[in-house]
Amino acid sequence: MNAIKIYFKRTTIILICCTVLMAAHPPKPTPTENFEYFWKTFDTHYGLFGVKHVNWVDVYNQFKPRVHDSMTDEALYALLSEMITLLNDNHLNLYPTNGDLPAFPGGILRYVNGKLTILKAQEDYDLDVVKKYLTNYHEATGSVRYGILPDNIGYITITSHGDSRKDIQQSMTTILGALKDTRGMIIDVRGDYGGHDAIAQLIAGYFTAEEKLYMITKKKNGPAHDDFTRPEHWTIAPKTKTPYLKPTIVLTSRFTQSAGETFTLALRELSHVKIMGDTTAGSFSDNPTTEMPNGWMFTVSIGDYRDARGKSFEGIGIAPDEFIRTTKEDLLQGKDVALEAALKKFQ
Amino acid sequence: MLKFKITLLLLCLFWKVSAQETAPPWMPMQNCIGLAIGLGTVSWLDKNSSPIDYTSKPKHVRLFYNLEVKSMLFTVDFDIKLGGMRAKHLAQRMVYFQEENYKGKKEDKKFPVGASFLAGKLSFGAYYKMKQSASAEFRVAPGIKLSNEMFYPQGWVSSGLFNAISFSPAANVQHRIDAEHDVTATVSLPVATYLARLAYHNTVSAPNKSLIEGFIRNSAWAGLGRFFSPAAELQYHYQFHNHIGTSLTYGFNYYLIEQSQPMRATSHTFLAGIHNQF
Repeated sequence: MNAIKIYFKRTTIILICCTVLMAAHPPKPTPTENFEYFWKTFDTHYGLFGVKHVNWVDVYNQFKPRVHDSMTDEALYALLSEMITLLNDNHLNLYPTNGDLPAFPGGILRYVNGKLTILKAQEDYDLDVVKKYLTNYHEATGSVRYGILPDNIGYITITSHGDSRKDIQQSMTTILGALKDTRGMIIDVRGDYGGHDAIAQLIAGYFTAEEKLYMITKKKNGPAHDDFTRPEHWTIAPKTKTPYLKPTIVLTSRFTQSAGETFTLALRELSHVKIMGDTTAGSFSDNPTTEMPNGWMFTVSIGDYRDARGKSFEGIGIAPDEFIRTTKEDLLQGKDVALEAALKKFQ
Repeated sequence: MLKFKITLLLLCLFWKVSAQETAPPWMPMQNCIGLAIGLGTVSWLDKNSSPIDYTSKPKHVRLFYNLEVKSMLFTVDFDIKLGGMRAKHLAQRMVYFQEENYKGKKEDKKFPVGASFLAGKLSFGAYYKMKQSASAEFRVAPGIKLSNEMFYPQGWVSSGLFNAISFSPAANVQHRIDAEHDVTATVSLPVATYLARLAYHNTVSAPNKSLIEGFIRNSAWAGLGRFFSPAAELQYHYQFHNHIGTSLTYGFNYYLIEQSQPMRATSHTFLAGIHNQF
C-alpha cells in the first residue's frame, strides 16, 4: 500500500513538473508546423484565389515535399518567399524575426530586359527633383504636399493615406483655396505607397461635383475560398461646395499601390481627369499582418476589390491613359520626364 | 497653572470619552474619492490574428469614487493600463529591412518587434446593502455593474483588440476587522455585452468611415457563451485618519471571447491606493 502511495506521489510530482515546464517553455515549432500554418492561413484567409486562378492545394503539393524539420531558417524563408511569389501580389510580405534575414517585400514587378523582376528601389519619382519645378511649395501634412508648376498648373503629391480625416479636411480646404486660380492640376501619386482607403476616398471627394460609384469590395468572412462578406460600394461624393473641376492629370507609377490605387480608381471615374504615367502596382486589397508559430510575420490580402464595373486589377494594375515613365537616368540629371509630359498637356 | 493643566486634562479625557461614545456606528458610510497606482500582468492568445501568446506588464492607474447612502453603495472606477507587450515565449524579435534608392544608396535597418499595450475600463456599480444587525461584522451588497472595457494593443498584429460594454451582476462583501481595518471582496460576471471585435478578416476599412468607426461597426450583443469574463477583486483597507485611508488591492480578470475566432486572456493587478473619505 505504501509503495502505491509513493508511486502515486512521484507520478503526480512528475506530471506537475512536466506541465509547469511545458507551460513555461513550449516546444519550438518545427519548420513543418510553420509551413503548415503559413499555407493554412492563406488557404482560409486569402481573398484572391479566384481572381488569380491559383489552385492553392496544387501549390501545397508542389512545395510540401521540400519541407523537412531539419531545414534551416534560410531554407524555409526561401521556400515561403517562392511560394507567395506565385500569387503575384505586392501586398504579400514575409518578415523573419531572427534579425538576420531581410523582409521579403512581396514585390513590385516589372519587365527589366525582358525578365520579370521585383523592383527594389523606386527609380521613376523623386520629390526632390519635382521640387525644382515648383513654386509656393508647402507641406500640408506629412504625406500631402502641394505647390504651383510653371504655366500656373497646380500640383499635389500624396505619398500615403495615413492622416486623420480631420487633418485631410483642413488640408484639402487650404490646398484648394491656394490652388483655386490655377489652370489645371497634376495630382502625383507615383510615390503613393497606400494607407487607408477611406482617406483616399475623402481626398477624391474634393475633385467631384456628383456622387459616383468607383469600387466594390468584399472581404473574407470564413475559411472557404468563396466565404466573403456582402459587397460594399465605395462612392466618390462631393466633400466641398467648390470642388476642383478643371482639367486634372493623375501621375501614376509601378509604385502607386494599395490606397494609392483605390484613389486612382476613384479619380479615373471623373471626366475631367486623365491618368498618365506607368501602370500601378496591382495590389488593392487590405493586407493585415499575422504571425507564424515561430514568431515570423507575414501579410495576407483578405479582400477582393474591383472597380465600378466589377473588373479586378489585382496583380495587373491600372494602366494609364497615356504611358510615360521617368527613368533613373532622367532623375540623376534632375529631370522628371513624366511631369514635363503632363505639363505639356496643358499647353 | 496647575488648575489650568488639570482642567485641560479633564477636557481631553472628556473629549476622548465623548469621541468613544460618538464613534462611527457599524457599518460607517464610506464615501470616498481616491487614486490607486500599481502594476499588473496581462496574458492573452487571440487566434483571430496570431497563434502566439502575448504578455504585457502594464502600469495601472485607477481613479475611484464611492458614494454610500442608507441602503445603497454606488461606485465609479476609471482604470487605465499602459505598457509594452511582447510575445510570451519568443526571445527578442527583430525585423530587418534592406533599403535601396535609385542613386544606389543602400541601407540596412533593424527594428525590434515592439508594441504597446493600452487598456481602459470605466465602470459604474450600484449595490444594495442587505440589512444586518448593528454588531454584524459583514456587509453583503449584491448589485449590478455597467462597464466599458477596452483592450488596445498596438503592434505589428492586432492581437487582443476588443471593446466591451457590459452589464454584470455583481456582489460586494465587506468584512470589518476593527474600526480601522477592513477587507472587501467584489465579484462580477458580465451577462450581456455589446462586444466589438475585429472581424474574421482582421481589418477595419470601410467606406466613409474612420478606423475607429470601422472597428466599432463590427459590434454585436454577446451573452455568456461568447463573452465570458468573470472578475474578482480583494481589497484590504486601512483607515489611518478620520479622512484619509489607504488600500491594497489584488484584481483578477479572465476573458474568453468567442466572437470571430477565439481569444482568451488573464489579467492580474496589484494596486496601492489612497483616498479621502468624507
